[in-house]
Amino acid sequence: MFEHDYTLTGKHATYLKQLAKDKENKNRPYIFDRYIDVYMNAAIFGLLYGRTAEKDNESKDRARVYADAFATERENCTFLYRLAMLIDKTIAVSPEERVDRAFRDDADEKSKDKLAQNMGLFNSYVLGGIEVLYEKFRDSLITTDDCITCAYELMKDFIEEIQGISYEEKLSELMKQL
Amino acid sequence: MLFKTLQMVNFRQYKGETKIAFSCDEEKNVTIILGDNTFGKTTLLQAFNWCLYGEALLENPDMLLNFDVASKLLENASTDIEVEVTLIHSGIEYILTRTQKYQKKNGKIIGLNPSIKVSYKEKDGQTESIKDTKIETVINTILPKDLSTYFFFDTERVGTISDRKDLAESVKGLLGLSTLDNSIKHLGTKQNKKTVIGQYYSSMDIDGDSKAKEALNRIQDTQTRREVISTQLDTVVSEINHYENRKEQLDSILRDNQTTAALQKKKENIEGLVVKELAAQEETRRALIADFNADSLPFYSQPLLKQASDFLHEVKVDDKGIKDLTRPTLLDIINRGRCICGCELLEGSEAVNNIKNEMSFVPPESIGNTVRNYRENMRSLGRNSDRIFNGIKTRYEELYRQKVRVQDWNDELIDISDIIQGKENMKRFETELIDVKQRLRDLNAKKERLIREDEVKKSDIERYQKVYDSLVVVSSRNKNFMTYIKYAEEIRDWLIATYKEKETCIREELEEKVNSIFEQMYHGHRRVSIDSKYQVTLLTTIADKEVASGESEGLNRVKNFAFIAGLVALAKNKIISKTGENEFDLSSEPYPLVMDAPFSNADEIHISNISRVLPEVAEQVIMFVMKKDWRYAEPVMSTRVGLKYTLNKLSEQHSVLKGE
Repeated sequence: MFEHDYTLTGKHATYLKQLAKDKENKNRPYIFDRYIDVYMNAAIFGLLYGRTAEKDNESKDRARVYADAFATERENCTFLYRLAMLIDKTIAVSPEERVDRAFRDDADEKSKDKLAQNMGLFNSYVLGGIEVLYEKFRDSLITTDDCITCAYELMKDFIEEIQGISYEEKLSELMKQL
Repeated sequence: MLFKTLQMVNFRQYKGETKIAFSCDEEKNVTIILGDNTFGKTTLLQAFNWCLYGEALLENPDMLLNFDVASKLLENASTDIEVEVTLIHSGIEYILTRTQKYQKKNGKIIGLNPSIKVSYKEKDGQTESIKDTKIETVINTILPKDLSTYFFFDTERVGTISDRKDLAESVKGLLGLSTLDNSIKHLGTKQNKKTVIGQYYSSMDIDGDSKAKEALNRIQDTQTRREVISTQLDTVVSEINHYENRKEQLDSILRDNQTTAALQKKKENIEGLVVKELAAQEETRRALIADFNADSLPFYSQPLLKQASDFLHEVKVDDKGIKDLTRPTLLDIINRGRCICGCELLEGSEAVNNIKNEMSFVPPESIGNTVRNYRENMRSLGRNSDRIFNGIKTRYEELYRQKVRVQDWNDELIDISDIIQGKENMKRFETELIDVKQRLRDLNAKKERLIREDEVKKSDIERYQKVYDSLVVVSSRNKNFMTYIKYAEEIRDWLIATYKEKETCIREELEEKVNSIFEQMYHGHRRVSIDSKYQVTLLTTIADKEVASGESEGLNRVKNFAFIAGLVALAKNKIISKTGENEFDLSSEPYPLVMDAPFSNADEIHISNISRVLPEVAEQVIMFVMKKDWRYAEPVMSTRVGLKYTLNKLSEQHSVLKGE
C-alpha cells in the first residue's frame, strides 16, 4: 500500500499540476506545495463531496506522485485510506466488511485482490476530489491573493457549515450588524 | 748713441779727477787719445766697461783704487773711486755713475761692492733717476753687454773675443729687430701668463660658458613648465567658475523648493515603507499557504472523521476486546483449568466457551487495537479544527491589513506626486550639490597647488636668470677676449713673419757690409761669412769652393774690425721694414766705436784703410793710439778728428791727460 509511483492521466494530471507549485515557474499562483498534498487533500474532498472519478485518458497529460513522496506521507495516506474505506457506501457491503476493508485487507496476504480493489476505490475518490478542488480554485488561480482568498473563503464556509450555521442565520446576523 | 764724456776719480793710475770730453760732431766724429804703452790707454777703455757693466778686463781687477791714494789711506779710513759716463741715446742724455768704496782694514785695502746710478735728463732739463732694478736692462738696451768687447775694442786682447758667444740677440737689438722681437715676446702665447695673449687667455672664464648654457637650459625648461602650469591654471579656474555658477544655481533651486524637497523626502520614506510592507505581505502569503498546506488535511477531514467515528462506534469493533489481552493469554488460562477469579474451567463448560468467544475479539483475530489507535489519531486531528481556522484567519486578516496599509500609502504617494508633479527631483540636485562642493574643494586645492608651484618656478627662473646674466657678462667678456686674442695673435704672427724676413735680410745686409768693409781693409782674396749666431768666419776660396781658413792674429783683428764696423755701419742706416702694404720703422741707433790700439801690428796700408773706413761707418770713433802708429793714420784721419788728447805718465801710479 502506497509503495509505488502513482500516475495521474488526462485532465486529472492537468488539474493536479495547476493546483500544485510549479518548480519551473515559481511566480505562478498555487494552492498546494507538492503533488502529494494535492493527492491527499483530493482524497478528503472526494469523500466530502462523495465524488469519485475514473482515470481520464482524453489528453496525454501525465503527472506522477512518486513512491518517495508516499513513503514520506505514508502514515497520512494510510489514515486517509482507512477513512475512505470506513465511509464509502458506493459499494453495498455490510458494516463488518467495511471494517475488514479498512483494517484487515491491507494486512492479510490472502486479501491482495481485495486490497487492489480497495485502492482503486480510494484513488477514484482522489480523482473525484481533484476535480472538486480544481472547480473550487479554477477561477482563483490567476493571482496568489485570489488563491489565498479562495482558500480562506472555502475554509470559512466549511467551518460555518460544519458548525451548522445556516445561510439564513448568517443573513440575520448580518442584518443585526447593519 | 754717442759718448759725451768720461770722468774718473782715482780709477787706477788716473789719480784724482780726470775728465775726457768726446767729439760728438757729425763730421769730426773722431776723438784721438795718444799714449804709449803702459800710459793707461787700456785703463781708459776698461773704465767704460767698468762703468757700464761693472767689469774691468785688467790685471788685478779687484784693486781699481789708485795706488798712491790707497797707500796714503789710514787704517779704517775709506775712499771712493768713481767712473761717470755721459752718453746720448735716442736723443736722451744718460748719466751713468759707478762708484766703489775702498776701506783699509788691518793694513789691507778692501773694495766693497760697487754701486751704479743712472739718471737721464728730460727734455726740459729735469734729471730723473732710473730705478736700481731697471739699470741693467737700460744699459743693455743702450749697448748690449755681449757686444761690449766689440764696441770697446781692445786690439791687443783680440783673443778675448774669440769665444763663440751667441751674439744674435745683441746684434738684433742693435739693428732694431729688438722692437719686433720685444713686440712678439710681449704679445706672447696662451701658455705664458706674463704675456698679452697669455693674460687675455687666463682672463677668460671658460667654465662660465658651460654654466651659462646649463642655466639657460634650466630657464627654458622651467619656463616650459610654467606655461604648462599656466594652461592648467586657466583650465582649473574656468572649471571653478563653471562649478561656482552651478553651485549658485543649485542653491537657488534648493532654496526655492524646500517644500518640494520635504515632500520628496516624505515620498521616499513612504516608498521605503511600501517596499518593506510588500515584502512583509509576501511573507504573510507564504506563511498562509504553508499553514494551509499543513492544516488542510486535518481541517477538512473533520466531518469525515465524525462519520468514521460514528460508524466504528456503531459496529462496536473497538469495545469488544479487553485492552492488551491476546489469544495466547486466554489459551493459557483455559489450559491452566482455573480462571484468575478462582473458578474451575472444564472443557465444554460455559466459562470456557465464553473465553473461547472472547478470543475472536482479541489479537491476532481482533482489529480492535488497530481501530483504537486509529480513533486516537482521529481525535487528535479533530481537536485542532478551530485553532486551524483561527490561525489561517489571523494570517488572512494580517494580509488584509497589510494590503490596506499599502493602499493607504499608495494613495498618499499619489497625492504627493500630484503636488510635486512637474517639479524637479530635489534629491538629484542635492546629490549634485554635494558633488559640486567636493569638486570645488578639489579644484581650489589644485589651484593653490599650481599657484605655489608656479611661484617656486618663477623664483627658480629668477635665480637661474641671475646666474645666467652674471655668466653672460662673463661670456661677452670672453667673446671680447677671444677677439683680442685673435687680434693679438694676428699681429704676433705678422710680426714673426716680418721678423723672420727682416732678420734674414739684415744678416745678409750685415754680411755684405762686413765683407765690403773687410775688402776695404784687407787686401787679399778672402771673404767673411756670418752665421745665425752672428759669428764671423773667414772663408778662402780653394778650387771654387769656399772653406774656412786659418786666422792669423792680424787677420782675426781685421775680421773683427770689419764685423764691428759693418755692424755700426748698418746700425747707422735707418732700417725700413716692409711687410705687404704695411711699413714700419725699424729705427736703430747709430753707435760709436771705442778702440784701444787699433793699428797695433798693422802695416801702413792697413792703418790707412782702417783710418779711412772707421770714421765713415761709425757715428763716433774714440781711439787710443800709440804715437808711432798715429803717424800713418793721421794723414787719412786728421780731417775727421774733433778732439785729441795726449796721455802723460807721471809715475807708474799716476797718468794725466792733456788735451790739445
